[in-house]
Amino acid sequence: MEFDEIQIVILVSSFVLFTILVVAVLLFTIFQKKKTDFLMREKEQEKRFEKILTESQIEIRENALKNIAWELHDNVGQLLALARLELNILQPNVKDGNAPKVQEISQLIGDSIQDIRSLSKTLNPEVINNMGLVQAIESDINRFNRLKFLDASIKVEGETYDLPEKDIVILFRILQEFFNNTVKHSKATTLKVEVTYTSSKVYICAKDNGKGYDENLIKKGSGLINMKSRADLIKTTFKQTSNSKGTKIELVYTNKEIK
Amino acid sequence: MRLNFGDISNLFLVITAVIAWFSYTKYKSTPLKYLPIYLTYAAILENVANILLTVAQSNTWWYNIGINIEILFFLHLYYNYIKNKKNKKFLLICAIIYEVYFLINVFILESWNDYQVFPFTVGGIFIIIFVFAFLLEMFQSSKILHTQKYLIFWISLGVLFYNIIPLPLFVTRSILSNYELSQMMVIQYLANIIMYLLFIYGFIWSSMKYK
Repeated sequence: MEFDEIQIVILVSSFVLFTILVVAVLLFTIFQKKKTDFLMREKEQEKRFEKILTESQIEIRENALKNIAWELHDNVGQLLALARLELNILQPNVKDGNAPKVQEISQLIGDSIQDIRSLSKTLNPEVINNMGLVQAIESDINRFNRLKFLDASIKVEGETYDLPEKDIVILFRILQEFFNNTVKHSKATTLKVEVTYTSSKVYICAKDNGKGYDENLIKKGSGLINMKSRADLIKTTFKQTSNSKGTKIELVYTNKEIK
Repeated sequence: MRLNFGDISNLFLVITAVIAWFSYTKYKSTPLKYLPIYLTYAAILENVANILLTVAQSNTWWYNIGINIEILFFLHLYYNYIKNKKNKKFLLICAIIYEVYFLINVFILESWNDYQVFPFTVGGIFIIIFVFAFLLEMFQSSKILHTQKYLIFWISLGVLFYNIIPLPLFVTRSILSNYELSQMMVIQYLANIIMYLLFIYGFIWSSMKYK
């Protein structure tokens, strides 16, 4: 096969164009890999920053709650206890007609002291850690029943075991957020909590029989985002569903001690 | 029977069309959904062209229609993919200019029996410009993270190779219309084969997730 000058020019220029294209593709591949690595690193950094931010927000909140719990227990609680003591001292001198009234007031103060103590318990992260997850939930549930907010119950299955302290507080705070929503907004009459322990996982399901909410409208609500981001922090799957028959949250916590 | 480059290129075209149909679910909801129809059409075009050459001794008019549709198909494809409004408008104007030029050439300046190499060269250059415009858009978006997963990326590479490599051949044919260049068609066939290989790679390795 013989080629004249024009044909050689065509062949050479086609080959040059081909080479340029191949080199461009190769250069692009290298550039793209570098850019991808850079973007991935940036994303990773952003995630880390968000994690630190959530962690510090939780820490600040927990500290604030701890201070409130102390104030309630040591200050308000003590003042009420003192008031009750004074009232009891005063009681023998009260005229007969007023005695039942004073007795009633003393009883009311007693109930308030008990409520404040149990509230301060569930607010204080140290107390929650000491009580453990199930007992902390029970304490909140007893409070709801005592205050006759609704008919609350808890069912525990499997053999319970200790979870890391930080994780207990986060799980409990998620549930508390749900309980608060139930009491404040749902108009529910019952609240059921089920905790199931297996060797590798802890399943928690809480549901009420309230009016529910429109998932499309409330999906972006801060309470829900808070619950989700907290669950993410301890690598727990979080699911909330709602319809006109009630609202339910499901948490699946993986026991990190099991490898 | 000895296979020449033209036959090998046709064989690759048929294989590409078959693979395109088999992987159709991956891209049926994208503007690429017409691609297997185009590839099947191209396979028919080539084979009918061969038959016409044997039976009627001329297939130029058939190629003129076929390549014209092919150019319009790719311009239409990138019109759907390009998001920048200015580029879209520019593409539309270029497509109209090309088609008007093609029709003037066929009906007024020359005839159906003359191979419309000059309009096709212009059409090819337009396609190259808009493939680059699209790739530039793609690289400026978050798609850059997973470029290789997008079928359109491989299709664009194939189209670039197909249109750029034989460009010197087409330009020479446009300028020196009476010059014997049939030997050089091997460049076109090689460009075709590279394009089909890139298409096949895209059909097999692209992901349904990235549209």
